[in-house]
Amino acid sequence: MTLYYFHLRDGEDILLDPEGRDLGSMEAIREATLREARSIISSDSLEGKVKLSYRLDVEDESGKVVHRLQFEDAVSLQRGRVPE
Amino acid sequence: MRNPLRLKLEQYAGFEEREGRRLDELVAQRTQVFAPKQDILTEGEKVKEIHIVLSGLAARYKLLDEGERQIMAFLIPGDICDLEVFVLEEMDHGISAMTETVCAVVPAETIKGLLTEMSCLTQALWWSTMTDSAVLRERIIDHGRRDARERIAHLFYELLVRYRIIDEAKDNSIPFPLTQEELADSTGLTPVHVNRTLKQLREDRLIELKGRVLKVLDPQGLRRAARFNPNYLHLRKAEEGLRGEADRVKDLV
Repeated sequence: MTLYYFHLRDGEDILLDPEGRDLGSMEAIREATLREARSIISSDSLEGKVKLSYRLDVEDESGKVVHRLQFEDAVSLQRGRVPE
Repeated sequence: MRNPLRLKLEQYAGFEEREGRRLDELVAQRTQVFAPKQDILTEGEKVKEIHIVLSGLAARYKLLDEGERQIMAFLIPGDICDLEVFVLEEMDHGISAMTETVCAVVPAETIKGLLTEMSCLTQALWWSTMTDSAVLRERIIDHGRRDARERIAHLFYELLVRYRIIDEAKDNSIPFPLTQEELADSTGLTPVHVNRTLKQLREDRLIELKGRVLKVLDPQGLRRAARFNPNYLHLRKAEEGLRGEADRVKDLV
């Protein structure tokens, strides 16, 4: 069993993952990270305030960062306005 | 011996001494211990006996194709895992122990006998089953209408009420062996999202989580955060302000 810790940073604060979770492969780690980011973004967007300045750091038990995801890279935004 | 089933059912029904004794015998016959993560019942299993949780915590769950798990309900002491045995052939979902969990194992025939003999038990078990479906309806509302904070606050407040009923919420502290992942599986959130929401609830001084114990610091505040309406638990004795069994939970509903 290998535990990976998902820490959420926003430049000032860090929300530490006290528990970690057992994931089998790098692919599973990448998938879980993306799901985390998209889930938080989607729920925040319902509140009307999305923070794309978050970053998720996934660390192994020794504290080494094995994967990192900027929320900005988790979704593609199509910006623009329909002309009046 | 403590009998959480009786503590729960007497929120609805009044039992005479003899009936109470029968209920106590029911849970004292045979017990089985389940290790954390062990299945108490597996999806597809044909149920011949009824499992009543006496201590610990269990969860009804369903596994999806891609290995994802949805937890539909938590079973605390006094809850019955598989009353459907009388009507349905096999389990359409699994029940797993979240921590070491002790169940009373009662042959279906014994319960059948009791049901014929004690009409108040029939009514009480029916009440309990109806209330279980009402709890499930709340989970539907969770997914349709409640945000992350409301969902978790709602679950915590509900657990507080349910543990109070069975007299296991001293100082508003309840056993809480769940991991963030398990909370995520039950609320349809993701673990980091759960972690962030728990942090908010802690910072608002509504709860405290320490060493597998959840302490509700501000029940009224948590209730407001959850927009909790206790009517679905059908605690009629407490609602009517009756004295006695209802005292355990009166201030929360």
